[in-house]
Amino acid sequence: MAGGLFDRYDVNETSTVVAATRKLLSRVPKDDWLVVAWSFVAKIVLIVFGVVSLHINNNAPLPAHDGLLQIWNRWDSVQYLRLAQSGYSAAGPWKAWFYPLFPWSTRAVAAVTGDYLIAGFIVSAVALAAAAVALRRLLCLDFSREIALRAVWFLLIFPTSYFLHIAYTESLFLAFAIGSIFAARKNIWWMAGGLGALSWMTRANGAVLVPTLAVEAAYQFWKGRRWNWQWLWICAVPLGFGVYLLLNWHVTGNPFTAIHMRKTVSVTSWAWPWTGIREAFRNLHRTPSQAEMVGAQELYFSILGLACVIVSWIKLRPVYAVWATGNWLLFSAVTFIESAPRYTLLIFPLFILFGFVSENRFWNGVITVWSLLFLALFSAVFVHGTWAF
Amino acid sequence: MSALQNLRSTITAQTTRLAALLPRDDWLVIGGVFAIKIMLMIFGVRSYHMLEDEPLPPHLGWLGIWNRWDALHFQRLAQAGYNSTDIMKAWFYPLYPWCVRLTAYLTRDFLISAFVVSAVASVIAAVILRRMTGLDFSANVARRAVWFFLIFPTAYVLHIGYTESLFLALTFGSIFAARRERWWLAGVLGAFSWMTRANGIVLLPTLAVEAAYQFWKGRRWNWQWLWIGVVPAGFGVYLWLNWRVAGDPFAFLKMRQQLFHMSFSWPWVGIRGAIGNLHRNPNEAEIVGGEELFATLLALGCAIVSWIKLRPSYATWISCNWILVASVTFIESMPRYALTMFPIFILFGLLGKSRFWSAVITVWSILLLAIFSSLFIRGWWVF
Repeated sequence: MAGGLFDRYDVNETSTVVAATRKLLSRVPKDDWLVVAWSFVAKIVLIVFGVVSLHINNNAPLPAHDGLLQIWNRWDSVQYLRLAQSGYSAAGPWKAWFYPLFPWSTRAVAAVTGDYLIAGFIVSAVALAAAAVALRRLLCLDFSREIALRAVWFLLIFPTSYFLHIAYTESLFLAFAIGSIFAARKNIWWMAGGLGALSWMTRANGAVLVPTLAVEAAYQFWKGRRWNWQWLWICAVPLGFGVYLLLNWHVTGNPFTAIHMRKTVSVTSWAWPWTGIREAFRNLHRTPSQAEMVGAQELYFSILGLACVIVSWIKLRPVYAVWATGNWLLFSAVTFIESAPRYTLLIFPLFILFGFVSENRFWNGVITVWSLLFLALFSAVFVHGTWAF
Repeated sequence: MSALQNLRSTITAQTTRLAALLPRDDWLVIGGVFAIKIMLMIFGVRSYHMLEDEPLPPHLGWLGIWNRWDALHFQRLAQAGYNSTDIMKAWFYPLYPWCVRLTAYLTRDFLISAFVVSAVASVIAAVILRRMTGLDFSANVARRAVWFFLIFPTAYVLHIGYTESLFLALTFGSIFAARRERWWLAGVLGAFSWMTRANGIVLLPTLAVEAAYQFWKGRRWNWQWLWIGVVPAGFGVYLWLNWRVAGDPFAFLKMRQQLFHMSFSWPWVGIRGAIGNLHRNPNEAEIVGGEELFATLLALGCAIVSWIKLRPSYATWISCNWILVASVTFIESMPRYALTMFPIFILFGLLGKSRFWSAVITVWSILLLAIFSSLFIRGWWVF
């Protein structure tokens, strides 16, 4: 078959390609490839599971266009894709309520893929792989390789980890937030500030990076008794919020519209944490389904988050404890706790603690089974179109 | 104060002595079985509330939601015994309902008894599986094999009023005893196994192959092998029961066609049927099409690999079980029957040496375990 395309390659060229690939692979630690592979496998299995559960539970065929992914396009995801496609508008009820970086990233990727839903999934996929690698590397600074790997594993199988794969902001936010903290730990403060700003441009929780990075700087000062001007890069973090205020001003004419909207678009307002927890207890008396979703599960995850906060202050570096505390207060210090299971996903020190506990094989099994059973349940509810955090 | 210290040291000494009774890994397995059982029960309640939006049934509702399909028949048999007026007559093998009846003398509740029998049996099955796998492979492979067994998508039947856990405890016990050359025990446990489920028949070729393998290795005849001849005694009890209840020891053969509209045929007939089922409505296509097909192919794949990687007796067990379940006109409940094909879990244990594959199998297993359990407790047919 002379003249065929493959005839142009000789053995030497093939071995060059193999060598180049090996070189590329060896540049990244093997464990990084492992966590990236985990993140993609978790995604594939979850997407297949979504189809199976839709077929079984709903006895419904997949939607015609992009059905495989479309069944995950629910709730906030619909809003983000609309924003990516049509941009912010003063006429809509949500105005500039949602932070802009995820829809903007989706729009940029859609320019290549030509499909906004696929673009949303690609942004989340890349961000999740980056978050998993950053988390593993961050934890390797303080803990063993095994603990770091297990922490990433528990992040990827957490009961609400389906949000990491779909067109929600969680994976992008975590990639930036963990990246920012990792940069701070490595003393690359300009990057910590820059990634922090992008993080706050993705979700309101980015605000917690300001005290988190400040505490890391204070800890480094306490350890070394040496002032570092680079710490001022922390001030770059609020730039992300600045963009959000600018967006609000651009869309509604008032930079603080989103803050005023909180009362109207959400049933909740700031309060002491026990107010929300008391309300979650009351919700246990609703119908069985509601009692479970807005009662028991909100309560369990709030308590799990609180336990993590307390233990973090004892067992972990202050930077992690501040991150856990700030994020926990942000979702629990309200009159009505909503989506605590999803917000707990952002409290990544929880996975470090799971990594510790799971040194014991028994607890490793327990956390794995609990996580995956409820991941399946919440995912099945979500693809069904019912609210699941 | 000294009395308190004495009490404490006595308790510590007793606990240490108790713990020393079994190897550490056995305790790990026992802890794992109970932990998974408890989590599945909690998960059952939670998913029932979420998906059904109904309160639990009044009496022991958290157990009652698992009392579905065959479990109801076994409960009835335990409570009221076999009856010739019953449409199922003596279709179900007797050992499990008899054990439940016996336990109910202590617990005074047939539902609780069913769970107690399965709990004890599932613990024994898991411990023996670990020890048996440990005869040929490392402790890690053995632990992983048990892990994949306990989280298999249909593993919920190990904990409820079904026969699988009792059957597996007796089967594993029989094969393990044969491996340890205690042939009288292998024969007796094999007979009890066949008194629990029809698949007990597969122990005959399995134990025979094990004996042949031992002969081939040692070139020495062992009269103890004749204990294999005891295994059909379990089936004898079943035949006697059929004769007693239906007046014909082979009544169950005629009932197969009447009750389940299936008969023996070549495996490809059933497989073709399962492929045809993929065109049913989405739910049926998934349950009696996709899942049956996937489990059939998984078990077939593992049966083939078993002949290369595992001991011939294990390969015989999985191959004959596969033929028994797949050689029908309509493949039914293959995902549940695959749970009894234990070489699958040894192969998973070997594959799970790679963290990547361990993660893949774990995620796949538990996600499906969750969905099948949530369907089962709501009364849907799932294998």
